[in-house]
Amino acid sequence: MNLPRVAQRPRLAARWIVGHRCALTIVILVAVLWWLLLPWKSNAVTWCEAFGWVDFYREMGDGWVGRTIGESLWLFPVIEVVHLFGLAILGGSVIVMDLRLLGVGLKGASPARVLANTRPWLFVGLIVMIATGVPLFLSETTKCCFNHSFEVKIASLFLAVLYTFAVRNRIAVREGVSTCAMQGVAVLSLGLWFTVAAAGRWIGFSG
Amino acid sequence: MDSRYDPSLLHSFAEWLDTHAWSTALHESLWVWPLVESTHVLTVALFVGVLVMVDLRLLGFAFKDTPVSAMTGRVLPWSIGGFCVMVVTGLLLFYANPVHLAHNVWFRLKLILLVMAAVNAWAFHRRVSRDRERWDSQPRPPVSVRLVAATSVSVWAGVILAGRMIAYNWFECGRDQSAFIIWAAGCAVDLAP
Repeated sequence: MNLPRVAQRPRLAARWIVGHRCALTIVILVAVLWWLLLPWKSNAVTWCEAFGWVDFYREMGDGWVGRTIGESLWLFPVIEVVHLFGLAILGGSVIVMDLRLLGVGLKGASPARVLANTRPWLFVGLIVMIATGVPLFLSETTKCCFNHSFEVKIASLFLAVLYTFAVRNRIAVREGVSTCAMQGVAVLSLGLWFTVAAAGRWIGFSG
Repeated sequence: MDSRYDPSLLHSFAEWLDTHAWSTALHESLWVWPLVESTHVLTVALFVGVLVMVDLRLLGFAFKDTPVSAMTGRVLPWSIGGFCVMVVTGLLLFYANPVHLAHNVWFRLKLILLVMAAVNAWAFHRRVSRDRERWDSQPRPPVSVRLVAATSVSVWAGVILAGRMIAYNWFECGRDQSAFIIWAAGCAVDLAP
């Protein structure tokens, strides 16, 4: 049937939704999880307080690294900038891989090939992030102890790393995985890494 | 008019923006400003991150088995999408605090670097349109292409650096500054120490 273009639009939208039903389901799931989990503890004590780690955190910050950064005017900003370089490298490799799993981006290459090309840069990004993130933490350990964004960031970071290497990268090299499963895997990966980054930025805004 | 600043055209424009009620509202907003700023920062991962992946291909460090045209055709548009988010959030951030930013040396440096990045992108597209078929599938493109990619990575790294440093007030007008900073930030001369 030759419908005019405008009349075809609802149909195209419906086909798009059906084609991305798995990705969309996970998007909704991640959004609901965010809604439920993130504001949950805003009035509660942090784990650091609850477990009585306040003194331990302060002692970590009293070390040479923490004091040097704390006393310097420019060291903290400079390390932060390198942390942002790491964000670009890590984010770029995660996004290019997840776009491929979503069925967009580098469609011409197999997910296994895209993974082989992005994985080294995922490591580079992670190493830069951790090598700069630890000193940043050491310069403000007491603030982090009472900061909900910090604990969300660390928790989601562990989940994201575990998930990326134990689940996503293994599914990316597997043959015969359904489009639906790959989309779900990609959206969950993007959701986890987004949580890490967003909570990380929010450390600076909260307390 | 704030007497700390030189009444240049940029300054007059910033002063005019500053009179807008929405500019003040955005500046003082408890949630909207942090959300816009966070979006601006996190989009670094999409915009610069994806762009770096394309640049790494052009440098011959990644995706050596993938044609350059596949990277620029299927991956680069995502980076350009990120760039659009950057422009919108960036303009909003400028709108929230125009006078202060117009006289911030890091902000001015960032604008210069953005112009350099634009010139470099133009150079890349000229280079591509000339003879890409010849090196499209080469693991290591010609040196001129690699030079453009290396410039892209360096300039955008500079933009991130300058952008992050905007938040620090070391070179603010009104503090004791060298003649160079007073000139570079466009501070009013009568306030020079």
